[in-house]
Amino acid sequence: MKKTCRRYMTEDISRFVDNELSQDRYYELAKHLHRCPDCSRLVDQYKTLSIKFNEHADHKNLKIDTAALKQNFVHATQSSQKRLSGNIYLKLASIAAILMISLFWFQGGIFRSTGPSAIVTSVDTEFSSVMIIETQKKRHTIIWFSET
Amino acid sequence: MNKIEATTDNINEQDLVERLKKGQEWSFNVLVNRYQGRLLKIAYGITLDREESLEIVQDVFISAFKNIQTFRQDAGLATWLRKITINHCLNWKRKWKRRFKWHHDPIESENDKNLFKESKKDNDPETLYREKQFEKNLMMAVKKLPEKIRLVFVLNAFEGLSYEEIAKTLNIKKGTVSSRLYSARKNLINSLGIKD
Repeated sequence: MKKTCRRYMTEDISRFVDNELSQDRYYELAKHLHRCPDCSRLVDQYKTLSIKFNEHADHKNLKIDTAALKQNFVHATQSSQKRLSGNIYLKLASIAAILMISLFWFQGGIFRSTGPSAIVTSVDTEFSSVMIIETQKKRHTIIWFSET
Repeated sequence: MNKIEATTDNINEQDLVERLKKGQEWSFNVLVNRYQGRLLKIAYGITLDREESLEIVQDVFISAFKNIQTFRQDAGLATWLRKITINHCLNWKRKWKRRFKWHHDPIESENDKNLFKESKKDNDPETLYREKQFEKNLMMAVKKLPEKIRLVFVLNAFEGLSYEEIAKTLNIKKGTVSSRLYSARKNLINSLGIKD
């Protein structure tokens, strides 16, 4: 890091310009500036850089085109409304689907066991019983066995 | 229009945010009137492009309006808008960097040493010319600053933020802010051919 004079680093001068030194050090350097033309010149240079940069931006007369912004604003609000209304339909559809599934569930609509269509045959002995059953739709055969 | 002008000064930030959250169009106008100057300067300082900064800040306002529900008010509205502006500007720069290399205008070999010595009240043509030339060279020097360093310099010069505020805005350490600002000043002075 460079030194402006024997006492202060140039980064100290930078911090001084921004009022970021501790209070003691700030006043110490402020006093020093009266005696040291090098440090004093550097303070001026650093300040000038910010002032001139600021002035340059101010001279640009930056101002938003309100007509264009209004158009963008209307477009943005319309699209957000569309998105919002789209979301409402999606939510309603989801609720309806949940209700339908719940209704079927409680009434046993979807997962209700279909039950046997008929007992094909049954055999009873002293020690066990065997029953051959057939399901309603897919006609699967179930063999039921029970020891007595 | 009168209604907007009348309320721009009177409405407090809390009220403004609530109205924005309700989607009131005039509150959007208040927001734009109140903050456009500051945000345009930041955007210009980062992009150094007048037209782009105008476009970016328009997008910032639309984006802020769309996302106002996410604004938690733990920091001020200006801080929130400043962050959005910085992000938009950096995204813009990254997009352009991918397309072509960032501007490389050579700095003219004008000697700006005298400007610091000139009296500001001096309005003779030579001084005015020198000042204009200095401003031109300064902007070229600013353009040459690395993005991270320029960003800190912009926030310090335009917004007058403390090191702590800059550190919070950019998620960096306070010491880093100090060294980047020093680096910005040193680079600018070197580029302008002034002995520090």
